[in-house]
Order: sequence, then structure tokens, then C-alpha cells
Amino acid sequence: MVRGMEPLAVRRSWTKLDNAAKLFPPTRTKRDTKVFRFSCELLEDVDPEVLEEAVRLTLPHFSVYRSVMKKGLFWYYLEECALEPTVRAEYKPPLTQLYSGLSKSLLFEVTYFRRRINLEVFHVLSDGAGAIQFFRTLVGYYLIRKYEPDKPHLMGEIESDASKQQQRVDSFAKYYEKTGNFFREKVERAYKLPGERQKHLRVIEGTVPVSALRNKSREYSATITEMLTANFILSIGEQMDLRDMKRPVVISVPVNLRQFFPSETARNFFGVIYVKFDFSASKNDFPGAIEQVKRSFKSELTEEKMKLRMNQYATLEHMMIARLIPLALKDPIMRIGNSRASRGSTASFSNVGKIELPEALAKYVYIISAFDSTNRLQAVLSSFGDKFTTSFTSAFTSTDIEMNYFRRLSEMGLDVTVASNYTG
Amino acid sequence: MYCEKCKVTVRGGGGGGGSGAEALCPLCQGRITGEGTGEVFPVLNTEKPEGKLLRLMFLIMLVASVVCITINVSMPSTGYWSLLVIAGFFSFDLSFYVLISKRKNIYKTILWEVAILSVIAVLWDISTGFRGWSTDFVIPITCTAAMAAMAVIAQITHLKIEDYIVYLIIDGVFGLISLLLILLDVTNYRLPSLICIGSSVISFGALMIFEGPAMTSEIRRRLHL
Repeated sequence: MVRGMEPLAVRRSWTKLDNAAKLFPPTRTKRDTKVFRFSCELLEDVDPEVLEEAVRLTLPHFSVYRSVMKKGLFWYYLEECALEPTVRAEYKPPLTQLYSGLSKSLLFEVTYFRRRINLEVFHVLSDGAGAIQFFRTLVGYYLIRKYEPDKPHLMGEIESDASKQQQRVDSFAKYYEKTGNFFREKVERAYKLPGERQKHLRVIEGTVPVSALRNKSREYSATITEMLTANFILSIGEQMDLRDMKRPVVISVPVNLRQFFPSETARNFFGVIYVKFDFSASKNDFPGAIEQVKRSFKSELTEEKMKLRMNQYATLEHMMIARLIPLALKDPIMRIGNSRASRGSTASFSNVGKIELPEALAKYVYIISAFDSTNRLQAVLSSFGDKFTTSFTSAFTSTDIEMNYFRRLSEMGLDVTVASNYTG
Repeated sequence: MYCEKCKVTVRGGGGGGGSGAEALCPLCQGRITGEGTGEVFPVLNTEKPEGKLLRLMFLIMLVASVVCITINVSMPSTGYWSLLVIAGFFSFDLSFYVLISKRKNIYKTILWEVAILSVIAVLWDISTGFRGWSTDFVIPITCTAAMAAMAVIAQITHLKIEDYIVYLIIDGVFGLISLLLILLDVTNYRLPSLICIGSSVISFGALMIFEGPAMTSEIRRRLHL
């Protein structure tokens, strides 16, 4: 045992999980694996060799991605490893788990299928906003190597100005202020989506032209997000029974905190707001719903409220008593806490925002989209060029809500294009 | 392709019917018209091979158990031997399951085997009148064998200390159980237990001497608050 062991001159570096990331390992389920995916569809089939090269070139810019997750006595943590990422043709259903307690593996995966490049990321590494940078770099390297090899300077338009250190910062810890009381808001039970669920998640992506969509939202004096949130709420309402309406529909909306607190972090930095809609009490025509959503956003999306929420969550993590609970006990406690909190929301609606590539490269891309894992129903909004996509992931066999949502868009006169992994 | 009812364009290969039959709209499952443009998502076979094997094993175990119980019940004078047999089946199946599921990490597998064998041996021993062979021999011998195996594997695979230090520590803890048994005066033959404790002490000592900084660094990150 003693002979042959290399004395370690260089220790592998390790990182604590940020505040949001601490919640993901214990609250994972078979369907809600806490994995999200970015997809880039090109105009022709993907070249696997070039893609492999692109991954190899991207990884050094994002050192935290070359990590495995390990268990400490009190917390999980990330540790740098020597594993090389492999690029494979898509071989399993979307958003299956990337962390298994049994074997050490990287927490992200790059696959391809026909014209699509897929990046799946375990939420412990990063949120959507943080992973976009990784994805853009990956796609950037691919496109340059494949189509514009004599223009490597184009990467400069993609690369972030931030230093590596800035990208690794745990911004939750940086902005933490002790608020004294930890999060104990009484959670009102929200309407829970009913229906038979299936083993694997179904994805339905629907795309409309951005310009037409923006014109529509201007007609209602709302932002695109507000209008589509209202659409989502009404689509849910259309399949509710009358007696279901005694509970409100609550949509949880993740909010990128970088817009409130300066941060260049490529890791997690988001908060969640809840948009509530009571079908028994409110006008449920489209304009009425939009007004309600606008009021919700206005009152919830303020710097003070985001700061308060962020610190309330974080207080729990900083309390010595909580820290001293062994991980084996923390996991079930957090799982119970999370399932109680999730009673307070019906579905999730996330906006990843505009994904941009330099003009010289964007012309090789048909569309970029994103979607997220869920136990029930989740929608992710994203846009690329003139294409605005709503990607639904659903555990249900029924497609009624997605159908209502896209039918409303086509009834508004928008051209809707749909793609899905639904196989009947 | 186009769905008349939803008024949406559908991209895809037309695999909606599942067998190359007509394509269906993903939103309303209605018929859609037009030419497919190629699948956007792959169509996959999602059954895991280990799942099948495991279920087959459980079936075999179930059948065998039922047969044993039936025979035993019809011959009550031979004693409750079927219970022992079922216990044997369970332990075998459990070992097998652990081997399959933990196969990627050899250290964890070894440790689990030690734990399972020890527990089975103790239960067996107790059920046959507790002659002490489980605590005197099985536990210390399996622990020592596990430590030796881990050492050999470490040599062969040149794994870094962090990868298996946790398991060394846990195995050392098992060694402590041997010590406990001696102190509680439960054992008749003390030699195997003493060898086990000695091996634990030597492994730890050697580790600290040659890999002290690595060990403390690893311990620090495992215990971080």
C-alpha cells in the first residue's frame, strides 16, 4: 500500500456548493433530475469530431465544469478531476440524471443527434444564465472550427470579460447579509396539476417569430414574458374543474439575480418569485390575466424583495446548528422541506432570455432552445435571432395544457412551429 | 407537416404512430398532413439491461422460496430448514445486487461485501446457537482481507489517495469492532481479531507517515462546514 503511491505535489482543488446548489442533490427525483438542456440546431448534421474538439477547447475556460461531486460529512462539494468529457450520439431520453451516488462522473454531458448539439448540465454546477456562457463558447468553437477556421478572433465576441475567479464566485455568499429570521413564510397550497404521469419526460418545443410576438405583447401593453405567463396560466385554467378553482394557480418564476446584484459568476445566482392567479376571484379573459400578471411582476420583482428572499434562504445555511447536522440527516430533512414548499406552486415558468452569437456565426444556426427537468410541468422561454421558443417539459401523459397554450398563439395569428420527442 | 386543428406546423419524422404509421400532432394527437422533415429527437429503447437481470433473479428466488416452504410445510418434522434456506437466498441475492450496482467502485463493493458477510455470519451464528465463529473468525478475517485487497488494488491501479481514503477509514472502523469484541470479552479465539486490529493500526500509521498532508487535506474537505 505504501510503495507506489505518488506523493501529491498538487492537490486537486475543490469548491463548496453555492446556496442554491446545496438544495439540488437531496431534492432530485427520477423525473426531476435537476438537469437542464441547451440545444443548438444547425442547418446540417453535426460533425462529431469537430464537436469533440470544441468541448476540449471550451473546458479550460470553465474549470468548475471539470468536477465530480463528492460527499462530505456535512455537505456535498465539487472536486476537480482528471476525467475527460466524451461526446456521444444522443442515446438516452432527455434530462436523465447526471449525478449518481455510485460512480464518479462529470456533471455535464454533450450529445448530438442529426443537426442538434445538446448540452445537459446538472444544476449544481450552474443555473441557466451561467450555463449559457459555457454553451455559447462550445457552439462558438464548433462553428469557427467547422465553418470559419481562419477567423478565430470571432471567439472574442463570445468570450466574457470576466476573470476566471469572477466566474467561480459564489454570489449568494458574497451578498449575504444576516437578516435574523429564516424563511418561514406559511405556504398556501396551490392547485396541483392532476393526471396520469409517465416514466420519461416529454418535451414539446414551439417557436414563433419574435417580431410578431413583440407586436402582440405591445397591443396588450405588456412584456413578452408577462403575456406568455398569462397564456400559461389560462392554459392551465382551461383544463381545471370548477371545484379545482378554489385553490389558486401559482407559477414559480426563477429570476436571474445578476440583473439586481452585479455578478459575473458562471455558477448559480437566481431567486424565485411566485405569480398567483385565483380563477374563482379574477377575470380570466386574456387581457384580465395579463393585467394580473403585470401587477404580480411589478410588486415582486424589486431589489428589496429579491434581497430579502435571497438572504432568508441563505440564513438557514449559515446557522451553525444547521451546518452541524450530518449530510445523511440533512438530505431527508431538505427533501421534506422541499416537498412542503413545492405544495405552494403549480408549475414553473422560466425565461432564459436572448441567446446571441456573433453575426458571422449565427448564420449557420437554425435555432437555439433550452428546457429543464420537472416532476410535473415546466416551461422555458428562450429566443435566438428571430425565433422565440417556449419549451415544455412534462411528466404527464396529457398534452392539454401545451395544446391550449400553442392554440392560443396560433389563434392570435402567430405562425407556430412545433417539435417534440412524443412517440405516441 | 401541418395540423389543421391546432393550426401549427409540426417538425419531425412522422414517427407519431410508433410503427411508421401516420404521424400524429404532439399537441392534440390528431392526424397531420404533409412530408416529414426528419426526427428532431431520437427514438430510443429505454429498458435498462440490469433491470431485467435483477427482476429475473428475484423471480427465481421467489420460486425457490415457495418450493422450499411447500416442501417444508408438508414435512414438518424436519424442522424449519426452509427459513434458513430463504435467508441464504436473500443474502446471496443481496450480495449479487450490491455487486451489480456498485460495480463501478471496487472499494465500495469490497466494503459492502464485508458488511453483508459479517451480518449474515452473525445472524447465522446466532440462529444456530451462537458458537462464536462469526465474531471470532469471520469478522476479523474479512476485515483484514478487505484491507489487504484494497492495498493490492491501490498498488495495481495507482489510484490517488483521496479516491479510497474514505474506505480505508471505514475499514479501520471495522477493525475497531474487533477491538470492541475483545474488550467486551465476547471472543474465545483472540488471534484473528488481534491480527485485524494490528493491520488497522499499521495501515493507518503507514498512511499518516507517507501521505500525511494528503490525508489531512482530504479530511478537511470531507468535514467542511
